[in-house]
Amino acid sequence: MLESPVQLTVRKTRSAGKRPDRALDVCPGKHPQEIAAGDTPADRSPPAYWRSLQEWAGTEEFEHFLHREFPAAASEWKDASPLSRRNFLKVMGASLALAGLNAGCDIRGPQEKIVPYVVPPELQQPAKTLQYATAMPFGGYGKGLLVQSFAGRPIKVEGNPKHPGSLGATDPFAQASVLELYDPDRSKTVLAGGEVNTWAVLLRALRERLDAKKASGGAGVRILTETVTSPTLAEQIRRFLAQYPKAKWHQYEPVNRDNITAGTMQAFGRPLNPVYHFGRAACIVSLDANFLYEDPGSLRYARQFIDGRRLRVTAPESASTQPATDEAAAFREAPQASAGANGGAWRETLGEGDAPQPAAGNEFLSNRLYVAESTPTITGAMADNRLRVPPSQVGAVAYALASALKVGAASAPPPPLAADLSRWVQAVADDLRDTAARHKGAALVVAGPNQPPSIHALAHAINAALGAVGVTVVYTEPAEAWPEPGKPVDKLASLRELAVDMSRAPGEASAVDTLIIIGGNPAYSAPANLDFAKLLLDLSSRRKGGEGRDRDQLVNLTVHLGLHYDETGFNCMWHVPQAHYLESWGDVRAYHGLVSIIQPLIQPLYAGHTAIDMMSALLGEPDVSGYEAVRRYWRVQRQAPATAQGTGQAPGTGQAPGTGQAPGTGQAPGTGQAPGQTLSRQAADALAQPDPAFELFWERSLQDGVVEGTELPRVQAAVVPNLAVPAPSTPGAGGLEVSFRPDPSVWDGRFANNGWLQELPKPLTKLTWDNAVYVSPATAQKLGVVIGQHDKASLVRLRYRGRALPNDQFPQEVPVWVWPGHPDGSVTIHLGYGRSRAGRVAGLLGDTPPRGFNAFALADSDFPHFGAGLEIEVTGETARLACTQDHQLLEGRDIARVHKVSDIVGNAPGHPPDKSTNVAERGHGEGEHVSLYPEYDYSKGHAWGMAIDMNACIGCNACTVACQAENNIAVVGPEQVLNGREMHWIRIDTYYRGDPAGDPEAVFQPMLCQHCENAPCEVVCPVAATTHSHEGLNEMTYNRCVGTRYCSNNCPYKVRRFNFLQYQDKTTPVLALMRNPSVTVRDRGVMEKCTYCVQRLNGTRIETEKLKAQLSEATTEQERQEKGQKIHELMGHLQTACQQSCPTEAIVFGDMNYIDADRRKPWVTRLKEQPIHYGVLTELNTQPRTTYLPKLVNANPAIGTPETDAPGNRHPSNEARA
Amino acid sequence: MTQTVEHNTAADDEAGPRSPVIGPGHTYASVTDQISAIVLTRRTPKGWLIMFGVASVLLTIFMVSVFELLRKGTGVWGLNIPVGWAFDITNFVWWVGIGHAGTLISAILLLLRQEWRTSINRFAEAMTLFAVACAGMFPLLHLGRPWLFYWLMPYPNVMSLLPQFRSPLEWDVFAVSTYATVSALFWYVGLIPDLATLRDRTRSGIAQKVYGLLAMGWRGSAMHWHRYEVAYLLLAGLATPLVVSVHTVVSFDFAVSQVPGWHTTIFPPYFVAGAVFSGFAMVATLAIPIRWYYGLEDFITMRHLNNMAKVMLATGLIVIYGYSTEWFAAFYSGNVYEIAVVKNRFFGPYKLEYWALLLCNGLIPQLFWFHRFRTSIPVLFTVSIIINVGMWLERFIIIVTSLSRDYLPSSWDMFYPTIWDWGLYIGSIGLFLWLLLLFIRFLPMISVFEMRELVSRQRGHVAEGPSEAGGRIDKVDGLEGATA
Repeated sequence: MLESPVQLTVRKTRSAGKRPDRALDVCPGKHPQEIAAGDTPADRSPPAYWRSLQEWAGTEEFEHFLHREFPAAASEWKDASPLSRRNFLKVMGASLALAGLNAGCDIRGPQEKIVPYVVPPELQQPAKTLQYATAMPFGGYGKGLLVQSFAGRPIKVEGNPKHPGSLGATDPFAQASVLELYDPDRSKTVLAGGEVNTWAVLLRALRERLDAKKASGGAGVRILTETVTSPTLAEQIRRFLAQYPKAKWHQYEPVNRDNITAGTMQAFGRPLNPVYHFGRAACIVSLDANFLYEDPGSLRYARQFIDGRRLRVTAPESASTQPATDEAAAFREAPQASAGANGGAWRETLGEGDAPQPAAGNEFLSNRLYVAESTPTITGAMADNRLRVPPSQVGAVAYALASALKVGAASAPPPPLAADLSRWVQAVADDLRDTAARHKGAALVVAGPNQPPSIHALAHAINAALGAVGVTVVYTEPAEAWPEPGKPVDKLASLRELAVDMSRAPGEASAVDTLIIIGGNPAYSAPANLDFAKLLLDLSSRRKGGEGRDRDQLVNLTVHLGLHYDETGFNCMWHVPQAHYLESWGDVRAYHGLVSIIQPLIQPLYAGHTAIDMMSALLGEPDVSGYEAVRRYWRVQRQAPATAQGTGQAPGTGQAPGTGQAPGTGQAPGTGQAPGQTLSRQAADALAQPDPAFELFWERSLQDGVVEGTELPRVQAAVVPNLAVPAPSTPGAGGLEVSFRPDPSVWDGRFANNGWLQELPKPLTKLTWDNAVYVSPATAQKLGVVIGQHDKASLVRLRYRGRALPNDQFPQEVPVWVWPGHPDGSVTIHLGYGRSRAGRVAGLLGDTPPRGFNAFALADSDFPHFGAGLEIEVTGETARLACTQDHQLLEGRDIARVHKVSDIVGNAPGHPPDKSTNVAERGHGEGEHVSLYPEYDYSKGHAWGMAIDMNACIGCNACTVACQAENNIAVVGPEQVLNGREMHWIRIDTYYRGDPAGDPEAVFQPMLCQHCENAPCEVVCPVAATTHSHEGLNEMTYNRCVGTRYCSNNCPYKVRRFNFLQYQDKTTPVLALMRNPSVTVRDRGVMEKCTYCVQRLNGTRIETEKLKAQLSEATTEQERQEKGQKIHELMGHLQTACQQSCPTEAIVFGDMNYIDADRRKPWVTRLKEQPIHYGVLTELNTQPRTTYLPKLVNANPAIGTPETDAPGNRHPSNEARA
Repeated sequence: MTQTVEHNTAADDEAGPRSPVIGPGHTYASVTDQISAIVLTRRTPKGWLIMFGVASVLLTIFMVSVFELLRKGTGVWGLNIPVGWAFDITNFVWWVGIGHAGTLISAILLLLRQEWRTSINRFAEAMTLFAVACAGMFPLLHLGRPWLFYWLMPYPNVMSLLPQFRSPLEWDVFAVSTYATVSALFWYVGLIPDLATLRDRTRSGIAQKVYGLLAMGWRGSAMHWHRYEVAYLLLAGLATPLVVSVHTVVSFDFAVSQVPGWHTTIFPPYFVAGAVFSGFAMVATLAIPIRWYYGLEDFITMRHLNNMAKVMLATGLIVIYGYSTEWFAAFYSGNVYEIAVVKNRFFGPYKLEYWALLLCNGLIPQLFWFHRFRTSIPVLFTVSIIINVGMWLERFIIIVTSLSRDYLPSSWDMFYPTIWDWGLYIGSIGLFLWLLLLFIRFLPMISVFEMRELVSRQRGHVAEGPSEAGGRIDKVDGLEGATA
């Protein structure tokens, strides 16, 4: 069925959002003999036929038919023996066929259309990519995206510049979601008891069950979702709850924001959603908050944070027009979001008014970040002053800080701190107070979601005391939807309640007998002490009167909707394949509440259903598609204000639809409507009428990717007057503290089967494919584990609160990895590994052993984030972990430079601050070029170049995955990574400076092909497979490469990657859909490397050349202007994949010869003109086109200057050479 | 066998420069008999069969390794980024180095009229040829796509694309292929009179035809001898610069690059010296057991062994000079990367290999300062094997340690050989031995006619006294053709 994969993508989605007509699709691949097998009258028309087959599908004959049709495959699914790859593919093909059978032709088989479109799809041209706006739900919150579609299949995800939570940037998760869509291990068919079944049979079962429950008001019915911010879904669930008042809605999300919400409950007496403005903060304190990576608003926060410390490139004209006004006032009037600022090479910093402006034109003002953290994070790596403390000590630091600032909430005497800690706290407090006073509230304290609510309350109190509320932090209504508005759901408590009810005997009052799990994988991700998987299995398999084998004997109904047939799906009676967000209609709120419509890019590959579909089914409206449900919700929402006028609500409040109600307000659409009822006749009639205004709104919302005006309203919140936070208690003695954190790559395990993310080197540790017990060097020494040996990790046994790893289920001992900068006396364990039913990448019982170990098997629902009492027993054995950077010290080499801000400030640009930072005197940079050959003149045509601002690089890895997606880069697997054969074209080199056993500082250096003008790789290639272009690109001709690897040996930057084996999977058909058609898929034996996304450059070149030709033929001035402007537009939007994904615009690429419409030099050139700009290893006379700006550290001198003069920053050879 | 051993003790006592290069009492006939008997009349000895069996097993390992490599790709080896070359190029350089002794012995010593070369030159030339065959295998097999190796040749093609002549790998193609061609010609031309002897002496019809064909109608006429002499001298003249050029070009693979630890001007002379060093060690390693087994002590005398040990000592010293130059240059330059390379070699993760190399190539060959050790068969044999190991380690150290830690510490990584790395290496030794054993069995491993020439000279020596020893004796007069 897969030989012509393109046909899987028939559904055409359009920005205009016309509903693709499914009824037009023919039913291919259905052979007459199948019809005969069902003993169906042959003369039935197909739709009737399929409908009736579905009706029959649950019958014995149907089961028999399935087994006869695919006897081998059908039996194999039940076989516990390992499946061979070959068999797996065979079975996969079979299940696809079955999926088509079940879902009434959602999957198209081999079908041939030779008739051209009667109505061609809008804008669709062969071989041309189109972009559609959508949003990716992640942890319940949405990230605005633009997804590139080629021939009807999504191939690349980009950020949506119009979305304030993205600003055109993305994170690794969004980038890798394309692979998630095409994951060959996704579940492909409805399963009942592990056997192939149909959606229709499930619908019937659900209907029967719910009809029976009608009388009891839905007692025993439970819905378990993840975090929900989708207004449509929330409305549906609430409608369901209104129909079945005794049914309950539980929520569980292992990595959640409950502490944040609970913190606002404590501080303000009501749940609120804090929204930060890091760009306006001159002094920021993070209390274990990884706000640059782990927050729903991280992309925006990272951009704001960096804009607050970016070395402003001289733009005298703009600087002089910048009025030196009262900064704080400027902040308050600052635009909410400079949406659309993502203008390619011409981007200026995000909303100049968004950051504290220096009084004088060119003065560089850097914010200062203090981080007290229990696990090294990228936020900690960006800190000017970092404090490593065990997780329980963060509270003590916060309390001491509040005390030092004389915040009323911290009334009790603070717990005693070590001398250096209290000195740190005092210095931070002084700085906060001074900054807040000087810049009118431009200070900010942020607490992390793993810290208890009291710490958050303290942070809010401190912010209020500093006058930061309204400046650097604002509060909105919460974005999450809860069963009862204003009553936040504690996810863990909710799950615990469900678990207790599930364990009740049948017949008890609150016993569960119907459980619908919509998304999520609680059987894996619930803390071990809840034993959720077992409860779920017991619930699913409880039978009438003992041991009947008949499915009809089952008394409970458990349904799981998920992307994979995972641990939860396995333990449920029913499993329904979920549609990926790129296949779904839906909506979702961003970090500050703005709604985006999720629109599909492709028809569901495997007949998946969305959460909205599932709720529609539960509501008894299975024919309402996701598309209709979303549209109906928003149409009703838009009518609501009009209705409201009549019901006495103040008209003209200026609230756009959706904003008037927090999603948790529990109001059903259409205010006049009684909840729980289906639409009134009148309303239904109204909806049936065409509404041009709504269509306009709908099209604009789809096109922009945001629903305008749906940000949540700001709340003027005041701290509860008598707020008194108790002083944190010290943790119980005995054992080590353990901190459970989401994994930077696979998060809570949802991305475990995603090879791109598994192979993504985790920030700082550079580990791939595994998690580990992370300890500091000192703790490692105490434990007696292996330190500092190549790839080697000691294996240990863990005991924590009565649970142990290894245990019966996970018999593997767990590795210990030494992490410089980790606090002593505590350990960190990343979640998301040890999956037993994820797939062939992360672990599949009986086929692939799990990668890593399951931290949830150790976790405790009472201490979900951290706790004391971990015991480690060292076994003396070792294992090898796949780490991509074994060596993280600079060895005295001048590669990754760090400067003190104090060296920069006060020095006019063009006049290097002092000798130590004077590039020329150190013998680097744009020095004399020595060559026997005449210099090539690049001044004609394009001259591509890149500047990377290490001061802006936060090490988030988005560029690495973006490059992987753009350039069809293969995943090689853990063994190959261990061999040093990872294929990433851009990597984030991470170096530590200072004492690795103490408090080292980390510096990130994105490293990719430097496109040397004098490239060492080119001269040594015997077959001229790598050559130089007249535009300065170092080009790689894959077809010419014979694979001597000499070029890689001679590359001082080691950015070339070799296909040592056949890494590209060319046999799995679905992966062929994923590849970027503009980039060659490389085979074994061929060298590859960064091309500066030459396919994008050529695309733009072709377009601009066409325009230039038209320009020369243009007759009117207006036409000339038009064409000229278009050329500027194209050139301005030209971006490499890494640049486009970068949240902080650390990567700037462009044509160095290009002069824009305003006669300005390109951004990249202006960066390259900075006096502190430098090239890596330019002493080799390589003349790289990729160059760097150093990292700038703005440490508080009262705490102690970080080691900017550490050996890593000097270069003895130059002194000798000079 | 006992007889020859006894006989040999007499020769052992004299290994000085004037000591004979052929045992006493030999006539033209005895020389011809003894050497050609190995090929023609003696039964294939059991020892040869055993050795051939061993070599065949190793050759099978070679073929399996090549098959696996071609089936799966270069990734079956332990290579990675940054270590893009390891065993493959180590073996290449090692084998090319070994090949050097043959040409040096044949051509340079011929031109320098070193008559002691005669009994070992044929054998050394064959060794050269087989070593170059082994060596040539590796640059082909190390390619990611070996089936496209011909893209390195400048041939007219539809792509209108020539190779890239700035690449040292391209220079290698010419250097090695020229070397292989000239070596093969030199060896074959030198064989022709002996092939004629075999043709005339064999009783087997097939052998007669084959040898006859190979002998190209050699009848030993004066004209033949004259032309032979001219051709041989010309070829020797051609081969002589190649001895220097091949390893110089091979060293350019490294010296021309900018990898710290490779980018060194000392490499060309140091590589040539190293090549001669390892080449002579290999000749000694092979000559000693063969001489003992076939009872050729009269032809390969103690003087030969003594001389070879001296060459090894001299070239070994040059190699040590090369090492110390690297150390000095690194610290004198003050270049952090070069200093780091030296430190890394002494104290880094490959320090054991480096110290072993210094022991094998630096310390142990110093035994050859002493006459006692130079003339002790067990010491010579052991040391020559140690030198072979040491020279292999040297190439490994140069290639792998330099690559594994170059400029950016972020990219540093280790190379660990896999079973297929070892398989191909050991297998290539098998290929070498297999070819060598066939050569020993089917061709005269010592040049018969040149030995007869020596006999003639020996006679002259006895008759006319030592002053005439270096005198030229006309081959045409001294021998009655190959059919004697």
